[in-house]
Amino acid sequence: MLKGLFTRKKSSRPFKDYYSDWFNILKNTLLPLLRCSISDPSPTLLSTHVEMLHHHFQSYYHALDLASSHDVAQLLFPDWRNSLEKPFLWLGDFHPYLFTNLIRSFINETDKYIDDKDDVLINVGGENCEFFDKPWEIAMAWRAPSKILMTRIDQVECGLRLMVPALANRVRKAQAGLVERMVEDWVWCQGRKETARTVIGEAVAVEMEEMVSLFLDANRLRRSVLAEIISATSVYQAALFLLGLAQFLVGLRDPALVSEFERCKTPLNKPSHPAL
Amino acid sequence: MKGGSSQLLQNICEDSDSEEREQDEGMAMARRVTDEYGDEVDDMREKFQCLVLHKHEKAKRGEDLSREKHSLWRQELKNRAERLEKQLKTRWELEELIEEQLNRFRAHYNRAMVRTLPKDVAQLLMPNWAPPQELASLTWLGDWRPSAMLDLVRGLARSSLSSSLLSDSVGNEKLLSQLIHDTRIEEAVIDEEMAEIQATCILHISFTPMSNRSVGSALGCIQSEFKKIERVITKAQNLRFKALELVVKKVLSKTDAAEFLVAFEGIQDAIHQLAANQRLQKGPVTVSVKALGCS
Repeated sequence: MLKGLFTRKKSSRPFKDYYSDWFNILKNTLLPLLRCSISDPSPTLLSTHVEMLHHHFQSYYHALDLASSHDVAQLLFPDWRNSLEKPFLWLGDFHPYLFTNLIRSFINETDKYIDDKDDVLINVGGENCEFFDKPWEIAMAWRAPSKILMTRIDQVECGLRLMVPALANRVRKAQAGLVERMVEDWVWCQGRKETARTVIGEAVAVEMEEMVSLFLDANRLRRSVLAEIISATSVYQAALFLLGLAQFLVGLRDPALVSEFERCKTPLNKPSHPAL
Repeated sequence: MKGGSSQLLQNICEDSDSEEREQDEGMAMARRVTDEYGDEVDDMREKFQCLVLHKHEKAKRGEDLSREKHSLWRQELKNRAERLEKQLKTRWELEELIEEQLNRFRAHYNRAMVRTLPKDVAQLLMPNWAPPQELASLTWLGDWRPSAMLDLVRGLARSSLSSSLLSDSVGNEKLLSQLIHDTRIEEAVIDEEMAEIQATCILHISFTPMSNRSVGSALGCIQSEFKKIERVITKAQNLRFKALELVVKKVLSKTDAAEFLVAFEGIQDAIHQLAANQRLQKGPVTVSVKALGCS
């Protein structure tokens, strides 16, 4: 087994390490580049950085797909994510609605824009932040979103409303199917755990195959929603969208915030009989 | 007449041969005979006494035998009653054990008993004690999927070994189907609530380095999002216990409930062991560098 591990090491690497590198490139290289080019008047540079960031996200989903053939369960429940991120994961990563909601927040908040080049309030991630001395195009990016964009976003949302519950339903069915097979095995083995474990193993393997297919479909959904948004928006709109997304991702892994969060002693509920 | 009485006595004597006849009965008969025939049978008395004595001896032997048989019969009755009592006790014990087990689940699923901190939420949804494959194969929001528990009951009912399960009542099978149907709907509703939080978190939690936000204000937004998630988890836990309690108390007989609880634990344990082995064998999940290309 050890030998197998070493030979695999040459051609493959732990996903955890991949993710860590991926995140650091996002945080330390691509996000600063995008921030920089947003203030830079050159649209070519901005376009390049938008494309790089988009490609970075797409390559991450590609890597998730590749790794799923090794062990989908670890990707569905990633231990490399912190306690702040984990509750927001849906089938191993962000919910696809998160992307459409972010784009909606830009569209819906257009009324809040102040028509002033030097002091523009732009909504990123639901909160107003100020961009001083930004190019006019960035400041006005969401001033009047096109009808075509609105229609495309409507279509994407409509598709998601159909596909998200269908995926959730497939997870339930896969689990129900496993239970059904396991019970048969259990009864067949008359409750003898050792024997049951072997046969149940086969049933779990069948279910995991379905989980791989589900995970690939969930990633396909996330990937295609991202691609749709980038292709439907202008480079300025896309830049603000990706900035919001990247800042959210980086923010959830901010060491100061995470340590503060871990130390937080304010309970979320009011226990009727607090446990000792 | 004498001959008649003598015949009668003889008959009595012959009758007394019958070991089944009680001694009291013989004596009563002899007394009746003496009362009836008075002095006329005086001369017969000696013979009679002789006969009575003779009969007495025979009756005594018969009495021993019948007493023995009777006591044997009584003993047998007693043994059977004891066995019945033992069975009853076992049933009561079974009922108690089932109740105990249910109480354990009640305490486990009762979120109101536990003080939940923000950092506990991730642990509730993806508990460390469960290997990833166990989480992927059976869980929903951190624990057994309620409808899967009910699927387990239905599976047991359909399998031949437990033919008694649900077979006594068509109504119970209907009840179970209804329960599964309703539970699935409730799961879907809770799924939607969770999806809503996961979909809008980016709007409620903001990280904007350009504004002068402190960690504290971001933490406030996170706290309020995590409160929502905690409420969803509470609903999920309540649904789990409701499904378990209903199926054990309303759908299954005591024996079937016990069988279900045994299978429930056994299968969970088998899955846990299996997933732990799998995790060890596979090691940390890897990605092929070659396939990744330059990225």
